[in-house]
Amino acid sequence: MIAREAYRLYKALAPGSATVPEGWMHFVGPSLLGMVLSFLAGLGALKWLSRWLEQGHWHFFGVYCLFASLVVLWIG
Amino acid sequence: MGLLQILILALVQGAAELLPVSSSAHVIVAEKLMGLDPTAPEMTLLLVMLHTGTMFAVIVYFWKSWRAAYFSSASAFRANALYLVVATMLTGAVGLLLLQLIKRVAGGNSPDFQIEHLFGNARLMAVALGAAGLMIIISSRFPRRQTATSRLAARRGSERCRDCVCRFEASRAPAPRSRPVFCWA
Repeated sequence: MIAREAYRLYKALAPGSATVPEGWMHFVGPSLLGMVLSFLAGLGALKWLSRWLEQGHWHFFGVYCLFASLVVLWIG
Repeated sequence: MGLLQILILALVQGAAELLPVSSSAHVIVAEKLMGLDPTAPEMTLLLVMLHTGTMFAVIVYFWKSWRAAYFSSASAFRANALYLVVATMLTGAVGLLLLQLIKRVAGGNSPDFQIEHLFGNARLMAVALGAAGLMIIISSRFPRRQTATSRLAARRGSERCRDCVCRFEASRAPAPRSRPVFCWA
């Protein structure tokens, strides 16, 4: 998936800018930073949420998804 | 794309990954709210990298219990590896079939069609989220059964299954109300 999306970006940047390392890193850099930040955020969320999730309340997530779908429709 | 925007997207991805609420949809909605284009190549690459980050977080967090469950013995490793391979292959097959179906239905078999173009379709996201919500509500009505992993642990004589997929009691008693911990797309 990473290779596919990187190739898609490479094709979108061509011709010219993709061959310039700075131009390429201008787009890849934020993605790498995002990966590191989401790793940290995910680790924190796992520690916080795993115990909470184990207590059940499964159907709440279903209700939330229905609500979120309405919000997405509204935002459009 | 600024540092603050990346931080917000990473927080949304990190928080939503563990929950059964579609982290991709939440990240895409957050991108739209911040005026970013979710179908742009740099944004889809960011989305994949955000998922990679949370995937590593899940691996790090559950590594001890996975090591105990999967590498405790050769038989446990073989059984679990088989489950993983079969599950991965089936998921890939379903994904590829869906991809072809979507290309045909939504893209009209156009060679220029890319699946990432659908990331900007709010109606499609809303329908998918609604469908997921209904499935979660319906599934919560079904009685819970022991998983293959818990049966494996029971056979080994363990008192508790230490796998992240199965964190409830691996005994003959009815399963408690707690749900297994999954990692959601």
